[in-house]
Amino acid sequence: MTELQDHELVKEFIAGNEYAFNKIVQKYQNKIYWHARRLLGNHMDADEVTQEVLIVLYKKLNTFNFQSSLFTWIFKIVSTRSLNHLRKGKVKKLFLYKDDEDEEERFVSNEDIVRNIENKERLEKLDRVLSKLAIKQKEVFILRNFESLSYEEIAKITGRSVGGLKANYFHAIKKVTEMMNEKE
Amino acid sequence: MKKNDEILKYLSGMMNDTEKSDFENKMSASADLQNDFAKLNNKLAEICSLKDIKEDSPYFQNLLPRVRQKIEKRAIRKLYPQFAYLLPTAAAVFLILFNTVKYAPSHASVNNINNTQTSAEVNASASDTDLSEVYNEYNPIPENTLTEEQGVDHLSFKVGVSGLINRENIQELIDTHFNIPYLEEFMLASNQGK
Repeated sequence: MTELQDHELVKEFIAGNEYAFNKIVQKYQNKIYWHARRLLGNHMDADEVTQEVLIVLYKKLNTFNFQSSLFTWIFKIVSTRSLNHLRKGKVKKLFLYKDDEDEEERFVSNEDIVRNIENKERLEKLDRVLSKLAIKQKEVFILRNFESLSYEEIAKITGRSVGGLKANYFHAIKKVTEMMNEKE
Repeated sequence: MKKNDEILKYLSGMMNDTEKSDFENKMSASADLQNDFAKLNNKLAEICSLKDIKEDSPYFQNLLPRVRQKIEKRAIRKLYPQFAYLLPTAAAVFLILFNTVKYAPSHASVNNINNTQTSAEVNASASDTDLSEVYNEYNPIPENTLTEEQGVDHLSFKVGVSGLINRENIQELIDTHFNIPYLEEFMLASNQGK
């Protein structure tokens, strides 16, 4: 039903109804932001990627082929853009020296959409755990645990094989549980 | 650790059907394994519970207007692609002009480079009258206010050389004394005087 509704919205948008785009944004903005946020680990980068993704959506919705769900299509864009953003960040890091203090500063930056102290602490805890995972492990861990997606759905988003995703997930949960053991 | 790996393998779906049923049988027979399984599951559940975090700012209310604004800006740029190049082009032209004016060689520096040659050329081709005319053109003395003698004194005072300005001492003067762009002007004057 949701998929049908999504497809209807896309058709309406392609037909020229701008309001349909607003509806799509309102429906998915939360998921887009939080997926980017968990992948990137901070608000500033997540905000940049979220806006980028929404602009791409606006421009490319007319190329949507209705073969997959809109959700899968959007998450594919979020994943690709987030990974590109991370790669760009690594290149920048090569040329701009940043020490651990800078990273620490990023964690405690006041510019965030979460201000409640308790929530902030929980989010920082999650960011710290996720930051220890390799990007492929992180991606599958997030999609499986936070979006409750099956390996098949994740494979459509990431373009990787189910077997590879299972291996990534195995290493991800191994690392996460080991980290939790260390803290205890 | 190996026991944990087996649990993780089970949780990540890496076991085939036979391995899966073997593991389940093993777990139902072992309280320790059940305990370890529960512990690992709890840890994962703890991490997964961190997903329910609510934002406190109106970020999502402002997101769409911000994105719409960006889309409009980009659409304008797309409609008038030439404008996309206008600003950098204008900036480049301005910089070139600015640098040309600011760092163009001054007359003094031109004269310093060509001083001997220029002075010699001028000296060879220009008469005292030519020199005086050109000098007066750039350093006008109010007409009918000075006698010829006063005029010569005035010129001598200005250039810091005592006595008459003539073909003999003109070579001692450097071009900056005249404070005039005389390289072209003098040549023009001297050509006209010939």
